[in-house]
This record gives sequence, C-alpha cells and structure tokens, in this order.
Amino acid sequence: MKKYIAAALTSTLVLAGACQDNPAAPSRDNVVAGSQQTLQSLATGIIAQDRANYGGYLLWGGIMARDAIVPTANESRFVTEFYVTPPDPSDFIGGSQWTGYYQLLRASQLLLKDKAFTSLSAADQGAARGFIRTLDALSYIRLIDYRDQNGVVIQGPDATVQDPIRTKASVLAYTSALLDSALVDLKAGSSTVPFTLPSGYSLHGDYSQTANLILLNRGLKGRVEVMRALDPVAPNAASAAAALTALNIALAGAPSPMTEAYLNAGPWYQYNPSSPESAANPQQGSSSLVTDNFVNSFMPGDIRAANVIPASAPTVAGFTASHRLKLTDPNNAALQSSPIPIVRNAELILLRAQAEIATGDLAGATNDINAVHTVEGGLPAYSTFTTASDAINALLYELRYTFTYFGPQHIVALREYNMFNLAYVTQAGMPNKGAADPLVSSLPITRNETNARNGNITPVP
Amino acid sequence: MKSVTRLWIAAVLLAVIPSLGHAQQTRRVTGHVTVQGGTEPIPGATVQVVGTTLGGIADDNGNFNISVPAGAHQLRIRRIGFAAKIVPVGANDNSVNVSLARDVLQLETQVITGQATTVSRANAANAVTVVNTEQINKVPQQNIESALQGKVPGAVITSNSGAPGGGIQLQLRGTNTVNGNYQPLYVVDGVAVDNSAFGNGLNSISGAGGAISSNQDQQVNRIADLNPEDIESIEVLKGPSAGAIYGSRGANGVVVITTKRGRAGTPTLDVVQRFGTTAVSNTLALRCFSQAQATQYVDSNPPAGFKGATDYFAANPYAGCTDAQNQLYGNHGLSYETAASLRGGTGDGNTTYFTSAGVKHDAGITSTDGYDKQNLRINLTQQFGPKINLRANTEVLHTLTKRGISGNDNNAINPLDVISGTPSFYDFSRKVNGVYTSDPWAVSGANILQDQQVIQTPENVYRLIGSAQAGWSAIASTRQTLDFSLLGGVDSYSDQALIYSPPFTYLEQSGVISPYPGTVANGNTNVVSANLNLNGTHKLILSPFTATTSFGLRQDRAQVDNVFNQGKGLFPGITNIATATQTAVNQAQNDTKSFSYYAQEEILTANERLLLTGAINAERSSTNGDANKFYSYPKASISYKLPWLPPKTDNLKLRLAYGKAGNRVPTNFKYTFLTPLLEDGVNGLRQGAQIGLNTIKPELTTEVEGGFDATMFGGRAGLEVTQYQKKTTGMVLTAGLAPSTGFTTKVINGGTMRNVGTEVGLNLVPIQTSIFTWTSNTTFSRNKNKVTSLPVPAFATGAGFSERFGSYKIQQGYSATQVVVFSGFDSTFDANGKYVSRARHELHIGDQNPDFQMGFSNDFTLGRLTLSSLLDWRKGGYVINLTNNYFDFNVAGSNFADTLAAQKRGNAFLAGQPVYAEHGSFAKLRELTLSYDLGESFAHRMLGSRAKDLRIEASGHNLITWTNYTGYDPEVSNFGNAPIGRTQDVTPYPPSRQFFLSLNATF
Repeated sequence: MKKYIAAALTSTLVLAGACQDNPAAPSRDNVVAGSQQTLQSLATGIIAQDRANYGGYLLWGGIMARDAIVPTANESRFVTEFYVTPPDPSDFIGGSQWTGYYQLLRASQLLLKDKAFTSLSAADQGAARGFIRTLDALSYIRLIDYRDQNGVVIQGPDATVQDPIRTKASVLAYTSALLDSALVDLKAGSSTVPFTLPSGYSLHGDYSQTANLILLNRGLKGRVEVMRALDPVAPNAASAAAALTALNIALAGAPSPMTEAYLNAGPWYQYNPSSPESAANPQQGSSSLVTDNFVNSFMPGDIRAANVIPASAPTVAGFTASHRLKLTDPNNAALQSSPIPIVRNAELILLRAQAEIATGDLAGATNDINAVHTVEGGLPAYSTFTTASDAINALLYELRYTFTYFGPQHIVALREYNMFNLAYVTQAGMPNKGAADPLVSSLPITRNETNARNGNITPVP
Repeated sequence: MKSVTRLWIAAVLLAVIPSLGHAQQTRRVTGHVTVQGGTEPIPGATVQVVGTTLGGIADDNGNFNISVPAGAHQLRIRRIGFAAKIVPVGANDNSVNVSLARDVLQLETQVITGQATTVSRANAANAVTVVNTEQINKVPQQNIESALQGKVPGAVITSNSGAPGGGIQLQLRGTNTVNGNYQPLYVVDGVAVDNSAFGNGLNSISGAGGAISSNQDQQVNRIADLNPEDIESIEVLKGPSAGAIYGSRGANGVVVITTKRGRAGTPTLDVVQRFGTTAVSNTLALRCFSQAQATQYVDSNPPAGFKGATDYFAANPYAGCTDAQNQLYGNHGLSYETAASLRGGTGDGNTTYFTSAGVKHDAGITSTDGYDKQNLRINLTQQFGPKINLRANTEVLHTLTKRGISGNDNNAINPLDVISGTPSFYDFSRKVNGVYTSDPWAVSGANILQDQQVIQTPENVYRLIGSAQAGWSAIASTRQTLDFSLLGGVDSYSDQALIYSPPFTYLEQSGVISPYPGTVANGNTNVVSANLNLNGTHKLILSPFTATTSFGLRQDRAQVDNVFNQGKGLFPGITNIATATQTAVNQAQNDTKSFSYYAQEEILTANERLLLTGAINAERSSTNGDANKFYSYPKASISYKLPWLPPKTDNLKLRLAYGKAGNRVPTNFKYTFLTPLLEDGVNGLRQGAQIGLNTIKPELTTEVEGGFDATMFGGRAGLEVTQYQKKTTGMVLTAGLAPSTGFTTKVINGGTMRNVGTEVGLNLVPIQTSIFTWTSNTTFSRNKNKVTSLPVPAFATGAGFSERFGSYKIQQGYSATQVVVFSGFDSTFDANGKYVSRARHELHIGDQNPDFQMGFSNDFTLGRLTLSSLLDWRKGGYVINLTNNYFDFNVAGSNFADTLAAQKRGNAFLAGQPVYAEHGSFAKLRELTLSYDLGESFAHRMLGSRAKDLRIEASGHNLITWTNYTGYDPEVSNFGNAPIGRTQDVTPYPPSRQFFLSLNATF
C-alpha cells in the first residue's frame, strides 16, 4: 500500500485521459504524455484552488473580530460557533481554512516534479517555480492567519509521511525562507511565467511579469516578517527591520500623493458568472451582515460608510444585525462579477506602518496610515502620532474599515496587539468569555487532522 | 479455476451417462386434490412420485393424470399455502384422491437454495423468509419495501421521510460495509434490478450541498418502481450463508422476487379498485401569541423593514394562532388505484399467461405533491413439446413523483425552515389583490404557500424490466433429469427530473438563491443493467438419496449516465435553459462488467431428513483492481429433521449454514482522480482528495448461521430461532488521512467488522374453528455491530453536519454505526494566560441502528370477515434532530409551543451537551385492514355468473405512531439511503397516514 502511494505520487502527473469505466472523470491512473497543455492545466489547477480557498478566508476574520455577523435562519452555527462556543473542529467553520491549502501545496509539489515542468528551460522553470512557491507561501500565511498559535503543518515531499504540526514561529520562519527561495527563482527566471494567468492577475498591474511577481513576493515577505515581529509568544527581534526592507522594495513605486490606483495594485481574483466556474464571488449574495457597532463607529466623514446599506436578518441565539456591506447585496447581480484582491498595496502599506511602529518610526507609520486614511476613507490626515498606542488605534481603524470581508487582517492585528479589550470587540450584546480566551481568536486544528494523529496536535518547533 | 469447472462437468456427465436409456415401464394414475374438510379443488398442486422425477400438476379443477412406475409407490402432493402430504398408491391403484390442510404457517413453501434450485422450507438450512402476495398486499402499498416492514426478521426497513413516491432503506442483518453497497441485491424473475437513487436537482434551489444535485435531494431508490400487485412471492436471503451463490453481490443479502405467472385452465380476472386519502400524521406544536404578546414580540424583534408592532401589523394583520404546517400539509386529496390482472392458459398447460395493468395515484399532504404510476406486465410461458419451454416476462412502467421541497437547505426555501422562524401570528395564506404576501420574517421573503403552488418538482421514470428464458429438458427419466436454461434479462430506465422555480416568487426575487431570478434544473439519468445466465441442473433420485447438481455462468453489465443542466436567470414562463443568464452542467458516468460461474451440489438423504449443500461461485468484476482475477465465494450447509421429537412437537429441524460472499468494490475506487477546476474559461486540474487503490479487492463477508425450526401442536405453532455471526474482512475503507498531506482519504482494503445477531419468528394459530381463526406472527431481531480491527486511526465517515450535533466515526472497538458528539474543548493556560493545551471531548452516545425490533402481525377471521393488523416496534437507535435546532435558534425564544423546553435545550446545546441526539424508538401500527368477503352468490348477482368472489376492504397504513421522539418522525434520513449516517433529521417532509377503501373482484 505504502509502496503504491509513493509510486503514485512520485510518478509523472500529466493530463489525464478518461477511465475505462468512468468516461466522465479524469484519472491520474490513465494518463497521456505531458505537454504545454498539461503545464497550463496543472498551473490553472493550483491558481483556481487558491481562489476556491478564498471564501471562508475573506469572511471568518470579520466575524471573529466582531465586525461581521451571519445571522441566518437556516444555519445557526455562523453565530453559535463564533459568538457562543468555540468552533467545533468537525464542522464547516472549525474544520475550514485547512484542507484546501494543503491540496494546493501538494498540487504545487506535483507540478514541480512533472515532466511538463522539468522539460522547460531553466529560465522558464525559474519563473514558474518562483510564482508557484510564492503562492505556496501565501497558503502558509493564510493557514497561520487562522490557526495562530495552534500551529500548522509544513508539508513535506512525501504524502505518505505525516509531517508534524509546527509552532507558529517555526512556520513563519519557514515561510520567510520559502519566499526568499522564490525570490531567487524569480530573479533568475524569464520575464513572464510560462503559462497564462487568469485575467485578474492583469487587472491592476500585470502579475504575469516576474518583475511584478517580485513585488508581490516582497510584499508577502513583509507580511510574514511583521507577523514574526509581533508574535506575542515568540517575537523575532530582527523581523521588524526585515519587514521594512521587504516592504520598501514592494512599495518602491508608491506615488506621492497616494492614489487609489496604486492602493489597488496587486493580483486580483476575477469571477465570471456567465460561464461555468469552479468558484463564485464569495461576497455577493451571502447572508453576511455587519454588526451595529461596526456601523455606528465610522468616523464622521468616512466615505466608506456609504458602503453600508440596510439589511434584514433574523435573530439567532440572541444576535442579529440590520446592515450589510454593499458588496454582499444579494439583489445586485452585477456584484457576482466583482473582482476581489489577493493582495493589494493598501494592505502592504498598512503592514509597513506596523513595521514602522515596531521600530519606533511613528512619522513613517503616520504617513502610511494616512495614505489609506485619506484616500480610501476620504478623511483628513492625522498629525504625526506621538505614541505607538495612538498609531496602533489608527491602524486598527483602517484595517477594520478597509478589510472587513476582505480577510482576517483586523483580527490578526488585534491578536498581535492583544487588543481584545476594545469597546467594539466587547461591545454590548456580545459575549465576553473571560480574560484567558475572550474571543474566538483562532480556529482549532480540524477533526480529521486530529483523528489522523490520534489526538496529538501539540505543535513542535 | 478452469480445472474446477472441468471437474464439475465430468462429475455431472458421470452421473448422467450410465442411466441414459434405463426407462422403466409405467402406468397412468389419475387423482383429485381438494381442500381438507371440504370439496374445494386445489388447482396447481404438484404431484410427484416419491423417489422418482415423475409427476405432474393438477389442473383448474384439481385433477391430475401422471405416469407412475409399475408397483407400489408413494405420491407427494404439494401446493403453496397447503401442508404437503404423502399418500400411498398401490400396485394396482389407478386413482388417488387427496385432501390437503391449509398451511397457515407456510411450512411447506419452497425456498431458493441457488440460482436454479429450490428446496422445501421444511428442509432448508437457512432462515429464508418468504412473504407471499397476500401478505404483501394486505394493505395498499406504496412500494415493496414498505410491504416488507415488520414482516422479515433481521431486516431494518426505514423510510427516509414522509414524501410520496418512496425512499426507503432495507438493510439485512446489520451493516457490513462503510463505503460499499449496503443494500441487498434485488432479483426479479432472474433479472438483477437496479436500486440506485438519483437526485432530482433540488439542490439548485435549496443550496444544501454542492453542484446542481446532491445527496440531499431527498432521493428515491428506484426499487420503489416495482409494482407490489404483480408479485407472487418475495424470498429474503439474509446473508452470505444463503446468498453466496450471488457472489460479490450476496454479502448484504438477496431479495428474490417472483412475479405471478399464468396457470393452465380457465382465465381468471382479478380487478381491484381502491379509493383513499392521506393525512399528515404528526405536526410540531408551535407557539401561540395573544395580540398583546404579538405586539410585544414585534416591538422587541421587528423584522427587517419594520420599526415595530405598529407599522408591522398595519401591513401584516394579526392572524391569531395560525399553524402554517396545517396550511401547507393539510391536504386530503383523493388517492386511487385500479389494478387488473388476467391469468390463464391452455388446458394442457402448454401456454400460460399472466398480464396485468394498473393505474395509481397517491395524493400528497400538500395539494401539489403526489405520486402516479402506470404499469403493464405480460408474463408468458410456452411449452414446445416435452423438452423445450420458453418464458418471457416484461414489465413497462411509468412513475411521476412530485415531492415538493424538504430537507436541508441554505436558502431559507424549505417550508419548515421558514416556519421555524415565522411567528404564528403571520398568515401565509393571506393575499393582497389576489397575491400572496412576502414573509417579512424570512430572509428570503419566501411565502411557502406561493412556493408550493408554483415551484415544480416532477420526476418521471420510464422503466422496462424484461427477461426471456429458454429451458431445455435434456434428460427426463424416472430417476434423473437434466435441465438447462438460458436467461437474458434487462432493466432499463430513464429518470427525468425537473426543478423549476419561476422568477417572480419572493424567494427568487430576494436573491438568496442567485442574483439571477428563476431557476431550472433538468436531470436526465439513463440506467441499463443486463445479465445473461446459463444454468444447468441435474437431479438424480436414488433410493438412499436425491442429488441435485447445478452449475452455470452469469454475465452482468451496468451502465449509468447522469447529466444535469441548470439555468439561472429565466424569462417568466420560459424553462428553456438555453435562454438562462447563467448555465451549468454536471455529468457522471460509469460502466461495470462482471462475469461469474458457479457449481452447487445438494444431497437430500436419510429419508429426506438430512440435507447437505455445498457450492462455490467464482467472479471477476471490472471494478476490482485486477479486473481479470476471479474471487471465490463458497458455501456449505446442513439441516437435519430429528426423528425423535419432544411431546407435542410435529417437526424439529436443526440447521447450520456457512457462506462467504463479496461486496463489489464501488465504482472508481481503484483510481486516483484529478479534480477539474475552471477559472477564466481555462480548465485546471489538481490531484483529487482521495488516493485510489489499484489493487483493490471486494470486501469478503463470512457468515455462520445456525438455528432450529420447530412445528408443534399439529401445525398450530411454528418457532424459528436463528443465531448468526458475520465477519467482514478487507473492508473497502476510505481511511482518513491527515489533510495536511494534501489528500483527505485513501482507499484501503483493511480492517474487520463483526455483526452478531438473533432472529426469532413465532407463528401461532391460537384459535382455529370452522367459524373463527386467529393467526399470529411475531418476529424479533437484534444485531450488534463492532469494528474489531482497524489498521488506520479512527476516522469520521458517513453523512452529517457536525460532531457538535452528532456524527459518525469508524473506530476500533465500537460499532461502525456509532453516533459521536463533540462537546467542546477545555483550554488550559499558564499563570500568565499563555495557551498551554487543549483537551477535546467526544462522547460516544450510542448507535444509529436500533437495539432490537419486533413485528406483531395478527389476522382474525370470523366467517367472511377478516381483521388484519401489523405493529412494528423498534427499540433504540439515535436520530440527530436538527429540526429542533432550527426551531430552537431561529426566532427569539423559539417558535415551539414549549418555549421553555426549547430554550433549555438550546442553552444545553451551547454548553456542549448532546441534546440533538435523541432516542428514535417507536412503535407503529403499520397496517390495519378490515376485509369482508361478500360471497360467490352476491358476486354472481352483482357481476354475473363468471364472478367468483367479491371482497370489500377498509385499510390504513402507518395509522398510529407511539414514540417519545420530539421531531416529526424518527424514521428519517436527510441524506437518503446510506449505511452510515442515515439518521439526520433536517426539516423533513412530514409523515402521513393513508386510508383506503378497496373492492376486489375475481372472475
């Protein structure tokens, strides 16, 4: 058995023919020779899997940070699993944000072993490998975003081997090195990746160009280093500076004054509902609402308040809400075609602000926070912050109103700054579960992972 | 394997060749067979010269004329429904009259022992249950599975919901498998018929699962298509010791169905006309609000778009306490059924025929749901001289099922989902300007009565089941016979399902289903399964023994093509998918081939007291890793009728049977698939989630069954006790992998599972007088399952939602159908508040399957009046009642009448208690029939001189349920049929009871 699996996984993975007794489904056991089409299919498989992983990633963080709520009549778990009890690791919340990333990581490994890849020129291999490994790093970042100190697995080359669950610190260190390795590949690679990327990758800048992929790579490096620097359990002293270095490369082209176009630059996911797609826009049509506190806490004049519209919802387990973000409007079909950013410069700029706060550069932090605050919020610029606390509060405000329903950036920062005592987190009507674990600030290791390890899920360095 | 075949053929030839041409001198003996205690003839009685192959069949008038060798002999006279009798015929006798007593306990029924052989139940070595046509049709049955409920010890037969059209799971002697086929093989007149279940595309509007259709589409398993009226008998082979001869399809038992056949003599016309109705049998008690309470409620919890009670009630007048369940499910439509059959044959019996036609309509408990069936059957038999006979059976049928919307949903579309969140002071039936109002309490705005009127869910099935059989009597001498038969059978059907949700409904306009209002989903499934059987049977009758040798070949093929098309964004009134704004397609196909051959030897000896049987079946299948490898399935059995009997005992038989049978590998488990992922019009591929096994083998179930059958008190009591143990090895498991490997499961052959059980059947005739008879049949069965070894860590399996509610886990030392509930973590932190560890709590609540079940069937006959009843009692088994979860959390303070209990339950759930895992014990009055025979003279007066009988019946089905279960019905499965995980209760179609008045006439 073991021998078979190993053989299956190390064998050439090429475009599948049809099975003899299931003509409708492709099988890896009936294969045809590799080709450019094979490479394209496998690369698209990875990219599409990355997009498919995105739904819960966008939404859960907002709920955990008490910015969002999903009081839906037919699924009380959206409320109970986040607001009342810890998420059950067996269900669609506690068990989510795990498997899809590892499927992507395995698919990446298989592609890099495939003949369709190894037969490329060295330069094309470099561009492809740099791109794929950057996506891999993004998966690790997203895994850690939700599992935090519960740790995640660094996937090894052999699917028959159960690699250990590693601590957050060690996973971030690995991810940092992975990005550096990808950078080397990108620098040595061709000017473009040797396969066609989806249209979202050229919506706000052409990210099939390795030059732009290098910017993306450095942006993610900055993200990882900020997380390492601000890890409450195992902070890495050198990471704040490393983050600044990486982010300065990623944001080297920032205009002054800041523009919306620049803030939006980055690879995006595109959705095309008029044709068969494996993933639909996860924001539109969802039952996702925003909490009253979220609605009531806009600064006067914040133009992002116009993104909020009234909505109806039942009361579930004592919780309800009365507004939603426009981008979720179920009656607006056009929103199904709305692209969603994978990583955009606005996020990188706020990450740099975090690094600057960590290194004591409050002027730099003010400047970066203001870039988002003034352009996306339409608000007057802050004066230079005099304390880190002020800067952090301003930073959290921008994360809250720029990234709710665009990822867990807000809850991640709340964890990093141990800011769960904020009024809008412990708002009236919300449960307060005590000092030790006041909120659902991370998801558990999934049940299937736990079962496969006979319950041993303690992370190791 | 080839050498084994040659050996069998040689053995047969050796047995046959020496006796060729040894014909004895014979004479003609005539006779007359009548019912004991009267003059009524018994047509169709089999008359056999004991110790020879000679014999014949009595005609319509009970007369027979057979060849008998010279000298004194004995004749055995048999007829189903009568106790067999052996009578002497002297050397000079040319005429014999025989009377047979009615066999109310069915002790003399012939039961199947192989693909071409039968034996008297009195000698059978297995506990084969036979259910005859009278027992099947005591009450008008929706399908044959419901007809078997409570009548077969060892069979757990459970409805998936109350929806019309079926959806019932039959499981024999527990669960043998985790991933393989879990239902018995159904064989109709030699044709292996398909019992698959396909979705109807409901998921396209419910959003319960993925894709256009899902296993939450409230599917109907297609054995429901068969017409119970056409069935002569059903024999239930419960496990491998009886079903080994069916190879890799015998592990879960075999249900052998024999349809009615023609009979020599005057044609008999049976006509049945039924009328009836249906009624919801249980609704949930909902909370009522006084106007003051309603005002306070709305002020505290105004629905979207309203500030409080004032503006709410201006738009939605207070409607008192309106039970929306009754508004929706209160229909009492007219059900009807007309069935006619014609049965007859030429006087010499060379040509016989049975033909039937029927039209049936079962009304649903909503005005738009229901089930219709039209069927036509023709069974012909033609004898060409003494050696050749041909037989052809054909059934053509059409069913139309309209089941509405039920089960899990994620779009606030299921009526019970909506009702759970809508206070009873809102009236769904209210119309403004002739139009239903939008429910402000539902996020979808759905008005369930509007949806019920306009959303269409028809599923049409067109099916042909046919077989042709040619028989050749190669040798027919006094001492031996050699017969061959070639049978070709086909089961072909087209399942055409439509879901149409028009764009104008509040539901579609709300955008919760899609931003493009209007949904249509077309499902088209074509199934063809065919088999070709060649059987040979040699019977050698010598004075010390009778040896029956059978052998044969069998080839099967099954093809399935399942296509779903979906369109969203429709023009009003247009259902053409091509005009939809957004379209999608799903397709699944498979093609399975298998080939097998078998040989069997039966020796009946020691004055027909001892029966020894041995058999082997070898089979290969395209679903196996090695498609060319044959796997062998042997069986052996012994039964012995004791010659020394305890007092008051007529017969006592001990029996022991052993057998191995396989469970065919599910299609595609040998492959590791690639998963297509589409983005921007480019088709991507990544590895699938499951690692296939290219060496996969069928699961092997070994069964040992032993017991005794006793008849006592002059045929007034029969007791059948059976103990069995089954062991399944090499289970086909989709073992859980750590998802961090990139795969979630891998297919393995490994682990063992054990089922141990007891079955008891007690048949009594407590009172039998000339005017009053009481017949009582009681069945008991219990089964305990245990996973005895597992080569991989325990893993979750089966359908379900969350371990928080209750789900299923394969774990060594526990039942494969255990229900586990996750009750939370204990997190520990150090003195500085730093996370240290988490302990996980998992409770082993119990089992989804019942602890035991009993059936109590009683018939009371007083003159022409007969009262029949069947009570089905099931003890234990856990059901996950998520319907309660909907009501507990969907509205402030719950919408249940007992709000305190609901709140208490909800709070307990949040505290981690397993409150939604409930005992599913119940007792149901399945059948109750009062029948009156109007008599032949009345029939003559009313219907003319050809009328023989006229009977009127009043009957009911599922009339009363006794249970402590708090949901609609503990018989429920959101995921349809499944070996594990079938007891999830998610806002199901409520149960109903049926009432019928029938008029049965025989001409």
